Amino acid sequence: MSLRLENVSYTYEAGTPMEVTALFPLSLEVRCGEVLAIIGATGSGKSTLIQLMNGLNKPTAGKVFYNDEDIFGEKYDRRRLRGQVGLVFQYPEYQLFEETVLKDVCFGPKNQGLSEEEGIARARKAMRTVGLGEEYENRSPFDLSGGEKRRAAIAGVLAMEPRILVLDEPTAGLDPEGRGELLSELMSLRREKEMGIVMVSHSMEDVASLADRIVVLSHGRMIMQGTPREIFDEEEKLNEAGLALPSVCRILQRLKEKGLPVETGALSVEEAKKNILTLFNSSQSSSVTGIS
Amino acid sequence: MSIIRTEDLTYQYKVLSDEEGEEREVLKKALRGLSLSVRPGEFIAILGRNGSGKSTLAKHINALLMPTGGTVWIEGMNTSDEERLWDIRSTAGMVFQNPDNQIVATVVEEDVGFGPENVGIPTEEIWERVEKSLKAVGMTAYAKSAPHRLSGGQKQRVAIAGVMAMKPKCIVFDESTAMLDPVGRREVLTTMRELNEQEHITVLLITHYMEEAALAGRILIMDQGQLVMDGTPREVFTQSEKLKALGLSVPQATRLADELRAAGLALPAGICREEELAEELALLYRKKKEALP
Repeated sequence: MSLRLENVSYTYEAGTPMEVTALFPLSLEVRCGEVLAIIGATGSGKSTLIQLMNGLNKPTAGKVFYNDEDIFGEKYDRRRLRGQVGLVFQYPEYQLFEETVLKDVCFGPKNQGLSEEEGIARARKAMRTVGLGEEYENRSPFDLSGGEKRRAAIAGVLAMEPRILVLDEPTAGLDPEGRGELLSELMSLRREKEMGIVMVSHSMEDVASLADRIVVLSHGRMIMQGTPREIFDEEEKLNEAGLALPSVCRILQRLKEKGLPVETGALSVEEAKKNILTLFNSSQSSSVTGIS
Repeated sequence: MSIIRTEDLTYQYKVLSDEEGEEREVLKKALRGLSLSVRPGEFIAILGRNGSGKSTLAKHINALLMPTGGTVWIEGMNTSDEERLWDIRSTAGMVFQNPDNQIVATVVEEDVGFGPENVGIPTEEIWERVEKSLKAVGMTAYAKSAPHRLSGGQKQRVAIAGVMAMKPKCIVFDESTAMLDPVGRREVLTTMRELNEQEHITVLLITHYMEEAALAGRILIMDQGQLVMDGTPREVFTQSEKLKALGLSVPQATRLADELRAAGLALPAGICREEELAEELALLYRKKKEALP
């Protein structure tokens, strides 16, 4: 299963004097079971790009294929597609509106034409997936904490049982605990359900440690695509695009600038630790370094 | 004298609760007896999990909310004193999370002048203030630009300039970097530090980014409407277990330093900034190298 964007571009108010091209032609494939991160400065086209992924917006040029079918082809059932490619907007908790969490999470499946019973069954399953137990079912969504609201909103999309989940800055505004929990839930969806996860993020640390592939947008153009290791090897290019290195990469870079022969390619605290210990071990005997 | 002082500050509000079809009013406490004193010129970060009361506290400092118990003084003015409302708001300014919700005019300089104009400052002086404020946030070149054409970080700096034009002594930043990209975040943080160091403005920064809090002189941690920790970044970030229990974490530099120390490197405790860790490591490396025959 896959989602394929072929030479898609998007122009707002095309054909008018207000015309603005938000996305220049680009091609991209999202596979099930992988985490694809989209990074870029504010206004680089990230949100425009993900709104093309489930047919919410139609590309000005180019085509989008889901399982090799053109989603803007005649007779294509885009409503069904929206259940297959689930889109979670920025700050989705602002879109909670029902009286209880369970009713809110049921909204998607019911809209897809499922029976009340099946809708509830799916909603319950989706709530458990994001760590909301039975005690949450009858609570008002407005009484939940920020992290819980966010998870309830994501459950609403998961209840449609998508194959690909697209999230626009899912951890923005969450405290470290809420952020950690949400990210590990997303990773288990990928692992256990082979779901494809597309994630727009401003957190280079999250992207470095979780993504299989990264797409970098700048002024509406895809300027890089590759593994985290490849992408975070390009500090200058990233800075130009309004981005930065993850914290641990920056620490290693600073060491290198200070003349220490350290290996800089690290994406997590664990990798950075290994590189630094290697540096201290390799240059001298261990008794001198103070490493026991 | 403290620029901000709260004594036993409590804030409660009513919510409608629907239990088994029966609606009733329930009292919720967002702040429970919080006492705090901030000296002029401090740079303070406020941390705490979602719902711990950080924003509620911020809104009291700017007199957007009035205490339901206890007192808040801004430069000695009681925020419940309605006659001083405008003095309080121009002493303690506030910058919010979403840059798009804070801009009112179609030209940057007009937006910055909006506050002073509203309180009847003479035109001549408004322009002086606008010029000075835009300079302070490094946005002079954009004075005639349309705000909607700016990046997120630039818009936030315009919002800060708008607050600066009111000549505040203190600015509260309520997650003002949460929606920004890494470069925008850096811009806004640099602006905050410059205002603090050069203009001696007291800064209160509410954030979920531990790396940002590490730049402050003092960190306050809130939980369930109360102040639970108060100390320097060094004092706070050496207590990683306690932080975890409060839904927080430590900066990556601290985690890396802790792991390296556990693996036997003789690093000092309480490292919380990237530059600090790099310096300590370089120092250690040279020392060991010199010790070699």
